[in-house]
Amino acid sequence: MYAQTTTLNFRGILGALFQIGYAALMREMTDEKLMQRYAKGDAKAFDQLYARHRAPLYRYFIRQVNNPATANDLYQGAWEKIIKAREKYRPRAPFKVWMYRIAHNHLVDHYRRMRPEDTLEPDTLPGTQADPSQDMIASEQNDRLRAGITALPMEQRDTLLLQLETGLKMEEIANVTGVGRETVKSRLRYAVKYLKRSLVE
Amino acid sequence: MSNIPNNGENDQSLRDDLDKLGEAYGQLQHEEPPELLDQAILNSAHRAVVKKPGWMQFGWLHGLTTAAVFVLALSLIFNQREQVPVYEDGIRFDDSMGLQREKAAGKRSRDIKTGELQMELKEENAKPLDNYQGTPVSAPTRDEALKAVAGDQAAEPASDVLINSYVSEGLQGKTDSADKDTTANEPAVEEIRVGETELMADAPGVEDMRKQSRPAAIAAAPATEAVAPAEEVDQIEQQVMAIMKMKASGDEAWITELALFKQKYPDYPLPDELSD
Repeated sequence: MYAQTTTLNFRGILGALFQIGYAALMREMTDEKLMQRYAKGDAKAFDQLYARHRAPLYRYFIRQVNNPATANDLYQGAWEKIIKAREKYRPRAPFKVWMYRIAHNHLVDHYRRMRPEDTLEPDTLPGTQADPSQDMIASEQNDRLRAGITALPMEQRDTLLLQLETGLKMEEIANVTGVGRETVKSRLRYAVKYLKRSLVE
Repeated sequence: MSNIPNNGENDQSLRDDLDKLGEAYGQLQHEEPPELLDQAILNSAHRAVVKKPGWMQFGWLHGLTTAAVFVLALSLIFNQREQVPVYEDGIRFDDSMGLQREKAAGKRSRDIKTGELQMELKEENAKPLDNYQGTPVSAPTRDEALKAVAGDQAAEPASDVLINSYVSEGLQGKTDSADKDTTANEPAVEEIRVGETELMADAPGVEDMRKQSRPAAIAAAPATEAVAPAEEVDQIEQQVMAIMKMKASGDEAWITELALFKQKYPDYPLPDELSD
């Protein structure tokens, strides 16, 4: 009985150590390695990958559509596409570029499906609700920025959000959006100019 | 924050603007996906890579097994077909052919029995009749019976049909399509038929006795109906003739036999010899 308990404890400790070591190993792994492991059937690799990219990807969608319900749908749909396309992934480009290309295409499909009257809904964004405790000036500036981003044309908004949220280089943004580097730079320039003006006003 | 390369003054100014904008953007509320959504996505991701059960991984093995079973079943069927017995005439066994053969064999045995019976009857009846030729008792009785039968004009053709059916029993009355197919049996049947005809020609006494003992009602019946109970009539006639023989030979048991016969067939019209 004692021997059995000892064996079980030993096995439990070994298992826990293995889990800790494996999680540490996962944290050290690059996105590309994790995606490759997931494609081979390692679900834990996806957990790590998801933890890294969940918030930026969600913000990318919610700042685009300004509607939590739509953003949730888009976000879930994008991840479903990533999961389905796991075996097609080749680490020729960074994982982030591959992932945001899928997200971008998913968003473009959404805009195409959307009717002209179903435009952005700035009032439904959670951050727009007035909070008395917040600093009025900061709140006003944030609201202006948010409204300015929402008011941007879709291409400029998409390019700007990819720049601000993901930190991708211009070439990578060009790769994601399927346009040239100069087009990306131009879009960014126009977007920045518009936002500066709206913030000053 | 910005990763835009500095390719000139324009790029530098853009980079500075983006840095400032990035700071302002960083102060915005950091929305995060709901936990339920996280869980749903993670579950979906885990389900997608869950290893299928062992038997599902070998889909090709299932196909192979099914194909093997199919081939085995087919080979068994063909093997069994090849093992079906082939008769000497080279005809493969078949259900319908088997039935025909059984019918033909049964008919042949009946024909042989009939022939043997006729021979026995001839031998057994010839002796007493020969003995009775000089006796005054049997001759008038037979003549009377013949007159009675001959008086009924309608009964004559029917009795001929019955006699023929009695002799060849089934060769004429029971001929069916199966008999036509069994050509192998035809010679034997013909031989028996010829033998019977000869026997009949040699034994006129027996025919007379039959005509005498056959009831007029049965003899007058249409030929098609008379064919069916021919065997029963023959049996009755045989019993009557046996009783007559016993009486002729002086065996006292004929009285008992006659009583039993009358009990069994009360309506059967007995010949004058026995009705007395």
